[in-house]
Amino acid sequence: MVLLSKRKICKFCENPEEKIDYKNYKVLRRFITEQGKIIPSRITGTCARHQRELTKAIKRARNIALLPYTYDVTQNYK
Amino acid sequence: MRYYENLFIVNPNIEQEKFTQLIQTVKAEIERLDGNILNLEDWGKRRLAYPIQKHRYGSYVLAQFETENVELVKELESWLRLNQGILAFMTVALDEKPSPKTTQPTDQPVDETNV
Repeated sequence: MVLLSKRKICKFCENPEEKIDYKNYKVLRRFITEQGKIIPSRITGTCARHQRELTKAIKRARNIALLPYTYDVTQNYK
Repeated sequence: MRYYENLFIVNPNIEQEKFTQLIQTVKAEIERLDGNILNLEDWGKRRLAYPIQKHRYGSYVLAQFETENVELVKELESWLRLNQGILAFMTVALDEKPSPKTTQPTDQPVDETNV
């Protein structure tokens, strides 16, 4: 969904209610690839400030097993 | 005042009674270190994104607290590390005083019977 949008607007600037928090991993999940990598802001259109916060939140979520460091796409792991 | 939160994962296989007891000891430990608990949330049993100590599920508990004790986090973490029932934990400093009961993810924890 994020990948396809033509006009890039930062999701978090658009909607200030949406807090970037590692505990809110449902939101963070939209910003990682199938393999679990963080999607660059170049693709998602996230502004620099929010991308920094996002990166930090994703890394925290990984640390505490809310998000994976990696998905093994060759296995049916999801 | 400094504000922190600690999210920790408890071994999902311990009995409910022991679990409650464990939460109480964590609470007591924070208080012993001059921390004042603001929030204590039980997120329930969830699937871990990757296995920890061979466990695929874990019970998440979030504790938010305030303190003046700069040594608290260090001491709390070394205490948690020695605790057998706790699989993982993470302490995060908060910028501002947390508002009560707003942090829980909205999805449902896994049903005990399906595990």
